[in-house]
Amino acid sequence: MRLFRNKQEYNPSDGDSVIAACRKGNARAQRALVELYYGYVMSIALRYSSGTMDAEEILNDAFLKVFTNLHKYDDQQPFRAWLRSITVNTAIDAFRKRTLVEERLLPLEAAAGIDFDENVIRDLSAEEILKLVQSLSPVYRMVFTLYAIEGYSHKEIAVKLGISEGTSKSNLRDARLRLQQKMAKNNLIPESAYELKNLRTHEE
Amino acid sequence: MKNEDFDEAIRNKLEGLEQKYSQADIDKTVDQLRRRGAFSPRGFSGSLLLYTVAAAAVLVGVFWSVLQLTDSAKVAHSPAAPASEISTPQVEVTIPADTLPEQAKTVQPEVAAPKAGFSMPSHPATVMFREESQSKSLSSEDVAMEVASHKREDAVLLNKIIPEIQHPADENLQHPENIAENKAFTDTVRLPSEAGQWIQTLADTASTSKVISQDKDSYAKESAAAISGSPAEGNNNPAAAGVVQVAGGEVVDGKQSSPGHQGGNISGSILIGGGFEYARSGVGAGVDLGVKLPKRLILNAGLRYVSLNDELFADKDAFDRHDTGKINHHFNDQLMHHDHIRDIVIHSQLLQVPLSIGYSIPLKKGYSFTFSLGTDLDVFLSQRLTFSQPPDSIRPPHGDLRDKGKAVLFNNMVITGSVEKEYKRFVFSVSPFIRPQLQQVFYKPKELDFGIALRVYFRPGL
Repeated sequence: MRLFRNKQEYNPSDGDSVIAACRKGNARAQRALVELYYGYVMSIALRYSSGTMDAEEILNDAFLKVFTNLHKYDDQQPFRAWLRSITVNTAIDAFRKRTLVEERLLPLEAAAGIDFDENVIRDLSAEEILKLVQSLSPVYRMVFTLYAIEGYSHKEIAVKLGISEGTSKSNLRDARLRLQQKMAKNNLIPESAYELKNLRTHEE
Repeated sequence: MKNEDFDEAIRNKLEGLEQKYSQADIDKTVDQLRRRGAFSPRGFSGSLLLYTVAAAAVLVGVFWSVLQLTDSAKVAHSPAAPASEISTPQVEVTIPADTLPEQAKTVQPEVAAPKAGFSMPSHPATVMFREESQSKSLSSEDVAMEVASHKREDAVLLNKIIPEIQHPADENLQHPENIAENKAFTDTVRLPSEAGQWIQTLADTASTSKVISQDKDSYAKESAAAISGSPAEGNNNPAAAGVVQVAGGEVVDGKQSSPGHQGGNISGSILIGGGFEYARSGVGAGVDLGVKLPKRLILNAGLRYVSLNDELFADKDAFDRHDTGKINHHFNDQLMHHDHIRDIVIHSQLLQVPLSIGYSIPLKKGYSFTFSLGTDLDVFLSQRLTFSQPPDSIRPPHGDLRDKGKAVLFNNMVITGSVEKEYKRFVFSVSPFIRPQLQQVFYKPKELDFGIALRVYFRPGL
C-alpha cells in the first residue's frame, strides 16, 4: 500500500492530460511532456541556430521556461502556439547574447541579384533547405526566419533584435538573395563581403 | 519569383520538417532539465504538505480533547506508601480550617465539648463527624460505632484500631503490648480540600497503640485522639498532632504529582508520539517512543513507513545501465524477455526502525534543543515496477511487477537537531536532519539525503 498516492494520472499521448498532470507536479508527466514536444521544439530551434549544439541549448532553455511558467499557461489557447512563442523568444535571447550589437548593425555588402528558378526549391529537401538557412550569418538567419517563417513585422523584429526597421528590411532582402544564390549554386556563394568580392573577381 | 512566394515556399518546407530524435536525446534533455530544477521534487507536492499539516492538526486536536476530558476529572493518584516509608519525613502541610468545605467541622473545644474522658484536639485540623455525635460521651464502644458509621471516603479510617475498638476484649486491654508489638499499622486520614483533592496522612500508630492501656478512659482518649489525628498526651507523633503529611511525591498546588513528572527533564519519563518527515529521498510517517535517561540523554525508537521517490528510466538500456550491480535481480528475471519496454518506473516502499540517542538542552519557556545521532534500520523493502510496451508490440501495453527487495538493515546515519516545545503533556518537535549513506543501497539515491520531520509526543501520566 502506498501511503501517498502519486499525482494526477494522465494519458501519455494526450497533451492536455499531460499538461494537467505536470501542473500537479507529476514527475512522469513532466517527462512525457518533453517526449511529446521534443521534435516540435527542436525543429523550431534548428531554424535559429547554426547547428545541433546551439539548437539543443535553445531547446533546453525553452523547456525550462515552459516548466517554470506552466502555471501561467492559459488553457484556452493552443499549447503548441504558446510553446512556439516561448521557443522563438528563447532563440532571440540566445542571439542577443551571442551576437554583438556592432555585428547586428554592421551592414553587410548586398548580395548580387540573380534570376531565381522557383523549381529549385521544389527539388530541394526540407533538410537541405534547413542547412542552407543555418549557413546564413546569424543576423540574416534571424531576420529571415522571424519574418518569413514566424510572420513578424519589421517593426517587431527591430524591437526584438535591437535594430532599426531599415536594417531589418535590408537584412531580409539580402538574406533572401543569399539563400537563392546558395540554392542555385549549391552553397558555393560565400557569406562575407570579402569573399564575395573575390568570387566576383574570379568569375570575371 | 516574388519575395512572398519565395518566403512561403521556404516556410512550407521547413514547417513540414519532422525532426527525428532518439530516447537518448530525451534522456539527456530530461536529465539536464532536472539538474536545472525544472521539475518539481519527485513524490512531493504542495497538496501533500497541506493534507499532512491538516492530518497533524486533527491528531493534535484529538489529543487535546482527550487531555481536556482527563483533566476535568481531576483525580490525583498517589499510591499508599508502604510501611517502610512511614519513617521517611515528608512535606508537612497544615490545612487551614477556612479552606475546608462546610461539612467539615472545625472541632473546637468550646463548640463540641466532650464529656469527661474525651479530650478534644486543640489543633485546627478538622475531622469529619456527624453533628449529632459530637455531644456524645465517647466511650470506646461509641468510638467504634462512630468509626463504623462514618466509613466513607472522606471519613476517618482506622484500619487496625477498629477491630481493637469494636472488640475491646479484656484480654486485649490486659495485654496492650500485644497490640503494640504486632500492630504497626497505618492511620489514614483523608481530608477534603477545597478543590476536592484527597490528601492522605500517615501516622505511626505504633506509638498510638502503646498508649492503649487497661484504663478505659485513657483508652478512649487515645482512640479518639487517633481518630482526630490530634496529639494525645505524651504522643509525639507529628501526624497525630494533626499535621497533614503527604505520601509519595511533592504536593504542588494541591495536586499529587507523579514521581516522574517535573517539567521536561526528569529521567525515566516516557514519550509516545508520531509524525511525518519530508526528505530528499521521499516522505515517511511513523510512531516513536522516547525514553528520557539521566544526564539529559534521550533514547528514541520507532517504526516508520517510507515512500521513496520514483526512479524513472526511459528504456531497458537505461534501466540496465543503472542496475549495474544486478541488485534488482528479482526484476531482471521477469524483464528478461522485455528488451523494448519503455517508461520504466520503480517505486519503493520501506519499513524502518529508526533508532537514535540524543542530548537535550533545556531552553526558556518550555523550549528545548536536542542533538541526536542515530540510524534507520531498513527491515522491509517492497518494490513495484511499471513499464509500457512500444506501440507495435503484441504484448499488453502496460506491465506491473511487484516484489520484495533485499533491504540492507544498517546503511545510513542520521544526524538531527530538534527544537521542541513542551506544553502540558505534549511535546511538539521540529527536526531538520541530514542522512548520509554509510553504505550505498540500490533502492536509495546516492546523493546526501536531508529533510525535516514534524512530530508530536504525548507524556502519559503515571
